[in-house]
Amino acid sequence: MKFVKSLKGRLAIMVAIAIVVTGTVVLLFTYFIARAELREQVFKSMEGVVSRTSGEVELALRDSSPGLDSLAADPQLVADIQAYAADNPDNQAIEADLARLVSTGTAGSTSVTGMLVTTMGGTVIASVKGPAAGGALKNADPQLLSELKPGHPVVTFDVGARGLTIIKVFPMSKPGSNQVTGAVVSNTRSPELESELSDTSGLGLGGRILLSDLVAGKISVAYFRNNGGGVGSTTVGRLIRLPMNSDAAPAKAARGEKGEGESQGLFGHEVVSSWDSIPEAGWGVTATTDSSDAFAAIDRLRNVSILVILVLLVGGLALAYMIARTVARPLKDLQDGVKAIAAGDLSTRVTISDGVEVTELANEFNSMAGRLKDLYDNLEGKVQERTIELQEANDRLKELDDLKSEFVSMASHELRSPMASMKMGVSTVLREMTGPLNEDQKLMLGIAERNIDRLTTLTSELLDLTKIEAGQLDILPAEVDLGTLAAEVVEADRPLAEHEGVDLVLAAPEEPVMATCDRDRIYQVIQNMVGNALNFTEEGSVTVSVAKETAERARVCIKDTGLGIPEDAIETIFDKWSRAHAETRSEKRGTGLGLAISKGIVEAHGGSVTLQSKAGTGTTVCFTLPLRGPDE
Amino acid sequence: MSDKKKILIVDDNDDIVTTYRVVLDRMGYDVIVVRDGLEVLDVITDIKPDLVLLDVLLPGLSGSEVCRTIKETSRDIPVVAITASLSADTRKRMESVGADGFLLKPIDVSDLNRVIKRFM
Repeated sequence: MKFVKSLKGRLAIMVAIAIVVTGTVVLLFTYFIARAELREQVFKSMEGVVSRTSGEVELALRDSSPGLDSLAADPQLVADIQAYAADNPDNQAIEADLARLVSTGTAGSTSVTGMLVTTMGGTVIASVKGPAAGGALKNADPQLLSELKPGHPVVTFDVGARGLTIIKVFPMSKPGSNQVTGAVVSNTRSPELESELSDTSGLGLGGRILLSDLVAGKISVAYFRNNGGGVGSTTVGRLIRLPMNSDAAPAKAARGEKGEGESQGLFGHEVVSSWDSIPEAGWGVTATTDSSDAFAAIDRLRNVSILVILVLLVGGLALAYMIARTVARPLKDLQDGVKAIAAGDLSTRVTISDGVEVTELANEFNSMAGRLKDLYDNLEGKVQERTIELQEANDRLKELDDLKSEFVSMASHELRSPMASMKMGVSTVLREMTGPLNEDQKLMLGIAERNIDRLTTLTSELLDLTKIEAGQLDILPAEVDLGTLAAEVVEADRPLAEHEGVDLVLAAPEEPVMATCDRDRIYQVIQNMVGNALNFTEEGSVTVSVAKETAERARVCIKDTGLGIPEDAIETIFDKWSRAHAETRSEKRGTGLGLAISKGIVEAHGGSVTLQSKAGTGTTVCFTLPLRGPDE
Repeated sequence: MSDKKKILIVDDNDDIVTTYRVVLDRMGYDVIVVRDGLEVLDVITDIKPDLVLLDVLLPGLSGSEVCRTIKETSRDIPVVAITASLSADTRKRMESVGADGFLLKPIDVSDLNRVIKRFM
């Protein structure tokens, strides 16, 4: 099926069909023309035979018995027969009459073989054999005799082993009466006619000539053929009787018709016939030959034609296939080229030198492939270039980031040392361990100490944040009771709460809520959240609650009744440096890092931080911790 | 009516304000403290200070706006801007609104003394 769908296949089939159809049409045309021509010739030839035979028959009839026409007028014979009819028979006298007539009637090319006188019933009264006698004398058909009319002689024939006998029947009647009383029958033979009838040279090998006569309601047919021994070696066939209305050609001829055609012959073969009537005798003559013989030549032509068509079919297919292959080969080469390119082999080139169009196509293809390769190479180079650039930029960025982390980390550490000595120095003097101070001195040193603490906190927070952002927050997991941890924060912050006038409440279950976490870090988270709550609550309470939320998770919430956070600030509250109340007095300002750090710590533990707040009514911030600790 | 020179301090940090108060008091100046920009505008014409120490980072009205307003109403009063970072931007902005001098945090007491002396 693939072959049929391919260009090559279609081309092959089309060319083959064209060759075969053209060849077949030409051959068929030739065949029919030739057959028609041959048929015409056959008929013409047959017509010649018929016409010749017809002439010959007429000649033979005329020659057969000159003077016989006057037989009925022979006074002696008539008198003798009348005597016979008057019951006064003298057979010898009649025979003498006949012998006299035979001797005078024998002349020309025909020879009288005998004569006889018969009654109406067919009883022979007298008979005489002629000089050319051979075999028995032929009487007339009794049916014919009974239908004889006075004054109308009848000519018919019979066929025997020795040949054709022409039978002439003359009716005899009483003088002055129209009643036929008997008949004189003469038998003649004509070797010339027989020779003529056996001359079927114009009809081919199976040719036959048939004489036919309508006798007494039936058609007698005598057929002649040449047995192959040349002119004269006649084979006289049989006498065949056909019904009067037969469709056979001899029957038509006997009925006085003329024509020609192909039909089924008397012996069942397909035959070609030509026929005509001989008015003088009332006979018909038909020339016929077997169709197979007549058209033997044309049939050979037909067979040769079929053979030629078959050869054309095979040869045409082969030729077409070769042509198609020649046309399709460059296309196949192109196809292979396209496949190779599609598979990524951009250096593929196609070489075609067959067929201008396809060669041009191949050249275009090659230049396209070349451009494609250039583009591809170029593209690859550019991608590589950009990748390297990106890689470099990324490396630089990472370097910078590392540098920043390192810087913050180092700076924080470096800041701690000087602050430690400042803190020690200031607090020693402030506590009057080096001598008494006046009020201004105490005031100033107090401020100094407070700001040193602030700076220390800020430094620690910066360090934490840097670690969180770098993902390097160290967590030392331990089993911790969150309730106890929260209580510690509450206790530490209670003095501040009391100073602020805020109730600090702890709500924890009696049984411990054990979580695996870094004790100090979670302490830092709770402390930061409680610190924020106290910072922004002027009156009311701050409640720290600890609970086991699920079997796997603990939840710690810090709820205050403070300022709350405006809605537009909630989203950014976990960002670093974020402060909800910028206008708040500076002493209440945190660094803005606390909540961001708390979130980082909780998330590093595998927990999460949530915040709910409404400006003016308070804030609740919660965090959850997995009881089993961070998933390492 | 005291003959002491008056210095108006505009800052919202209590610790800083306290420190100024102690230091300037010892130097012999009257110290008036205002915690935000809007308040400055209310008091400037009444008090008529001899010098204004203005923190650039203020809640409410910004430092540069406060400075411009002071200069619009009382052009003769010198204004010293106090900043944590003396970047070119900040300096230009403050000079464009009439700031007469600058002090960088943290403030050294001798620097403070020298700047005050320059304007009085």
